[in-house]
Amino acid sequence: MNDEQWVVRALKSPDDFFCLVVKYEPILKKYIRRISGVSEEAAQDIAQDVFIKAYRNLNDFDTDLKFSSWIYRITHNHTLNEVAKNRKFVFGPNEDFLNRFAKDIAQESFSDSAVALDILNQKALGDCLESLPENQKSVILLYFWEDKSYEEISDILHLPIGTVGTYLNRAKVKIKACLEKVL
Amino acid sequence: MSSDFETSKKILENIKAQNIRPLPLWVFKVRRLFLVLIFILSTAFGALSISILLVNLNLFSQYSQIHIGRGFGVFLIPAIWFSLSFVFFIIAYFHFRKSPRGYRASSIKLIAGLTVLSITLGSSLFLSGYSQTIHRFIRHKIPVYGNLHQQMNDLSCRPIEGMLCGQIENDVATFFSSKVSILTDENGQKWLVDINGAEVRGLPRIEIEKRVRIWGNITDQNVFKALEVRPYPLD
Repeated sequence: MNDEQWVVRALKSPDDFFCLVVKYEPILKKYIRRISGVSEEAAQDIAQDVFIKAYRNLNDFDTDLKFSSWIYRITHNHTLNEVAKNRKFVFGPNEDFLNRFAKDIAQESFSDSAVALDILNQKALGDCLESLPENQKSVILLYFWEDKSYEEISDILHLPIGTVGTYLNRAKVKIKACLEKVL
Repeated sequence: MSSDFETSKKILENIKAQNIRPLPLWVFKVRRLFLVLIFILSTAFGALSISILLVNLNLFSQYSQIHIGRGFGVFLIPAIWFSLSFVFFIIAYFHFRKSPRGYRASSIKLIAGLTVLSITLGSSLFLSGYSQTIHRFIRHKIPVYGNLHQQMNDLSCRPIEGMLCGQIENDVATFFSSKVSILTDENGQKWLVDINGAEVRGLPRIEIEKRVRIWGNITDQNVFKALEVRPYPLD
């Protein structure tokens, strides 16, 4: 049974919502931490609020769209609202993300593979990501870290697909310039 | 059992304990309907504003032939309607964006589409004559606007400066066939108008008691030599 079918069942009984909670709670908790830098406990609290909010608004979900995009959107907005003050971007130790992102940036921007290795310097990259505008940072995170497609990012951030591509390219150019300065 | 599973269980328990239920479907349907309604209304009002802007621009373009540089009154009314159409455009844009899949539309295409829609609807209203009727209604029903418009008229209808505005007193056939016709101006003053040799534009539709604007000059007391006669667009 897919997510969308679980949603239809969950409308009748919260027990059927449990499958969706089990599936998405760990993923969303990590996402919350990545975009906000809050503690594990705070992320749990935010995730709990997100699921309660999602359950309350379950009838607003359009079954033609992906449930994952919908729940990510609620999570994204709720997290940013919750930690609007003193929010700090935390660049966690995620090897897959680092490898994919650094490879992509290095391939496009640097010919020297040693520089690509330097890009793996978490602090430098983290600082450069931190300097990006919120929307570009979100697109980078969703694309490289959460492995979302342009269409999914469009549904999560409520942006036109073309804008997602534009933000991604702009972010890469800025990060390249930032890394050239830092490294 | 993992802590994630425990957390998930806790979330479900909270949902049950607080007796949280999904909001009914109609709540979201009403919300969506409201967005669509606001979008339609703002587009319609935007188009109406554009059509009335066209009415005023048409008026202004004619006045400007002889009254350019007469002050801000002439510019103010078109500026008001332009601002209103812009405000309605912005409202329509953002309500479309908030609609269920509105965010997917490209900004350029959406702006272009809304612009074309507003201008097409506005022009249709203008060409059909409805906007003139609505404009007249607004002039009569909103005193501030009516007064402002009157000031605009006053800027234009000054016989001493070459424009006489007023109502045809004798029947149309007589008005054009006779060299001297009678016209009552905005202040109730009767004028003898020498039509001989004057260029007449757009007047076949004008009937007795309709108002006209006449370009020309005063030749004697209450006698006006007409060079050009046109219908009064406010009517």
